[in-house]
Amino acid sequence: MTDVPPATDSPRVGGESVVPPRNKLLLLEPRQFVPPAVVTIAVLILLVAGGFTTPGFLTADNALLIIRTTSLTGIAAIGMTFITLSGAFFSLSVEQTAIICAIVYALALSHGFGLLAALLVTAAVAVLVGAIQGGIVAAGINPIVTTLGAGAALYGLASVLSDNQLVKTGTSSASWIGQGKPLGVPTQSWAFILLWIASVVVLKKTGFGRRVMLVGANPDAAQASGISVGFVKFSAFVISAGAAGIVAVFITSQFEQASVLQFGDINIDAIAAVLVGGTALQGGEGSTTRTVLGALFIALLGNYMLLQNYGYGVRLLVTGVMVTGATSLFHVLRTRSQ
Amino acid sequence: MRAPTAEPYLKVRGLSRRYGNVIALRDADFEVRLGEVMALLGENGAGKSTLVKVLAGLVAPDKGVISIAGNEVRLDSPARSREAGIAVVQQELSLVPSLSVAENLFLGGGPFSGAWSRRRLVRHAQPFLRLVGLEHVDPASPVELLAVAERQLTEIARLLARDARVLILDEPTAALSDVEITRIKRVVRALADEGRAVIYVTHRLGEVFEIADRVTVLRNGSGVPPIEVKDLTIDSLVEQMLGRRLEQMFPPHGNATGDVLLRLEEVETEGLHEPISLTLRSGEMLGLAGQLGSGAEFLLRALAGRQPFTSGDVEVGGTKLRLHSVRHAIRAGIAYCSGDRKRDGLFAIRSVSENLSAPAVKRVTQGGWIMRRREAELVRSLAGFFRVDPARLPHTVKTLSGGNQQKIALGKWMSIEPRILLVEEPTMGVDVGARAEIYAHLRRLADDGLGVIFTSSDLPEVMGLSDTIATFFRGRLIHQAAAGTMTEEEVLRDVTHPAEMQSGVAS
Repeated sequence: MTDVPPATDSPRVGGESVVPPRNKLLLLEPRQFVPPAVVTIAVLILLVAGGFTTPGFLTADNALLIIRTTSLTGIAAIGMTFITLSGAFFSLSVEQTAIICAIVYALALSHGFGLLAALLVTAAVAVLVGAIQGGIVAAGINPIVTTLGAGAALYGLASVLSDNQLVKTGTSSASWIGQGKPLGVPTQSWAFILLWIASVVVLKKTGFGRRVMLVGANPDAAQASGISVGFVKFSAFVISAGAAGIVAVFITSQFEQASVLQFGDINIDAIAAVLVGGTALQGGEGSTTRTVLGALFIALLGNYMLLQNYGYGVRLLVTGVMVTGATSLFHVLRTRSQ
Repeated sequence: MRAPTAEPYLKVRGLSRRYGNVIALRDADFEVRLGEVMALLGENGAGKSTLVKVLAGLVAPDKGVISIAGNEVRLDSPARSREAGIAVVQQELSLVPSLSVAENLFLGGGPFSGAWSRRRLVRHAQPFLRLVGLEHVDPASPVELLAVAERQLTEIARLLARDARVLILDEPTAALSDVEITRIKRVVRALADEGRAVIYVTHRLGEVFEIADRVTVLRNGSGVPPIEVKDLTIDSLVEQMLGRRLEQMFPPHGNATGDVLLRLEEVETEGLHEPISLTLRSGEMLGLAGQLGSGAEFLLRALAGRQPFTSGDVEVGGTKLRLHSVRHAIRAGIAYCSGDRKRDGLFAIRSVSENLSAPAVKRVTQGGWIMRRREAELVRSLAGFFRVDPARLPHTVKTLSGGNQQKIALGKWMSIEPRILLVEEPTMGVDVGARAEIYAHLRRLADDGLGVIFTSSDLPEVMGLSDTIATFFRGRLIHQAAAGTMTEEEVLRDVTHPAEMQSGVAS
């Protein structure tokens, strides 16, 4: 038996709809526009409230800082979004992937590799790390467990490689990558914007993007339609690891050194950006644009709390609550609209 | 045997309920007497489920009066409904698989208090099990060991243990095979004859004539006065449901004289107990008749590349093929529409368009890019062919009715321009109006030169739709013959207890 008839399911004979939709807006279902609307409003509220209550919040310097923070979290989160959309939940090893990439990159530079060679080696490591995890997940192993284990292993490996020391790059040839500001905008932010646009194009306009959404929406149906579910998930993990590698290169270049302690809370921040943005935890619904909004929100909130002199503990607490809260809210919205 | 009391026991007058702009029930009347089986019929969206939910106390009506034995009652919670003696057997069974039959029976409070000892439970359970014809079941065995029909009966026994006077069965036979259905029907009839009022919701019109005393047909949220079953024929019943004559449920048969599309020589696959040989011609509708687990579905799955053939030859269009994977099958022009569209047929949260083009993502991309125009044309032409309202294309599939969903699940396969279409249970969970439409679509596809193979446990469907019928029983092909040469009784005998089990292929 059907459930409560949704408003769009009018009585009908033989597939003919008796009540045609009146306009384009009615074609959108709440689940399609509510999450991005919620996070956009939240960002605006935060901007206005922060501007009135916090001196130094709406200044050019602070804006630049926020943009830079958003950018790095955002790049990692864009990569993560592919994993979530494909129905593999999350990677809990983005941070550790970034760490191993950073160490390798710094070691390469310090051992006299040219910039290009160092970048290529780092890219190869990122792809390899993503491919191993993606391959395991594609074989049907739970992604959370896989990446949790991989994360620990990568962290250990990075510690061994770096001997738990700071690795100085020993050269300033790469510094422009992390410190440059073409047209007044930090390189990180250029990369963020370009990757955002690229990810939107990939997801909306390419066959691969379509497959990601279909696999996330229903892997069994995707398999039955001849789509290689394993390849799609594998690719999502490679993309995510690649994004982590980009973050690593930016941070290492900026500080001219790498260490295993350099990457703060990228995992939770990226997951928070994806979920607060309103991409469905189950996959198959969402976008990287939502993630960008989510990352902006997380960065604004973190910056606001920093300026209000909240400690690290409070900030982490609030981020955690946001993740759980947003996930619950959107979950309720989705089940209501069924 | 059918002498129900004349006075209605449960009476519903002027019931209305709207959801937003959708009117689910409009001034509907309904009644049921003690001692009778009242069939409740109607197309999807006619208001059946809303009426059931109101009676179950799950949905509050906007207006209307419900009375039981002449006294007005308010059923504003499931508990109230239960106190009033109403019990609903849901489609989704609510038994706890790991608990014993007896424990399940008295879950949520039995008719006795005090400590639960295994012996007491078993002793109390037995009479209820006997009522539903489960005397052979050990009350101490876990529910998960029971067959689906037995679980369904346990569910009914559980409601009887609560002393329900009004039983509502919501499509109790939807997931069952013919033999199991017979058992359920016998029990339902016996319960009514014992003096209970039974409301029987179903899509299978045949059942109405077998067990119901009267019928209430809901149409667009309103009920017509109950009709005595003895005054009805299948045709008049269909007419009542649709509000118009259904010219014919089944399209005219085709003539299976085209080229041979598919030849199976002594193929074996897991689930089949004997090698099978079959041919399928262009334009032919081959119906594989069999109950759930008869093996016919395994043959389809192997053809779809979902499980391997362990031996034998498969020829598609004269070329020997090995169908290693779903993608091989798709490349060979074989489309497979599974019987469980929710599980692996549809992407519920994606749009109708994306669902329709899903098997053809490769066809609508060029150098990795999706060709918007090409995809839109493809999707529009499919929607046109299957009469899906183009305004629905951007909607998510989950907002569609069962019949429309089935059309999408089927229609998406036309995007790969298949030569062979495999369909498992083509009209499961589809109401009568959309059912005729799906039959017509399948026939049109066959007329366009496709070879269609479908499995079905619904006998009239096999008889009405097939050009050739192949009967299956326990992993063996029993008999294969042109549709006109087999009677319904012969097919039924083959799929339930074939006389000669040794016979392989006769054509």
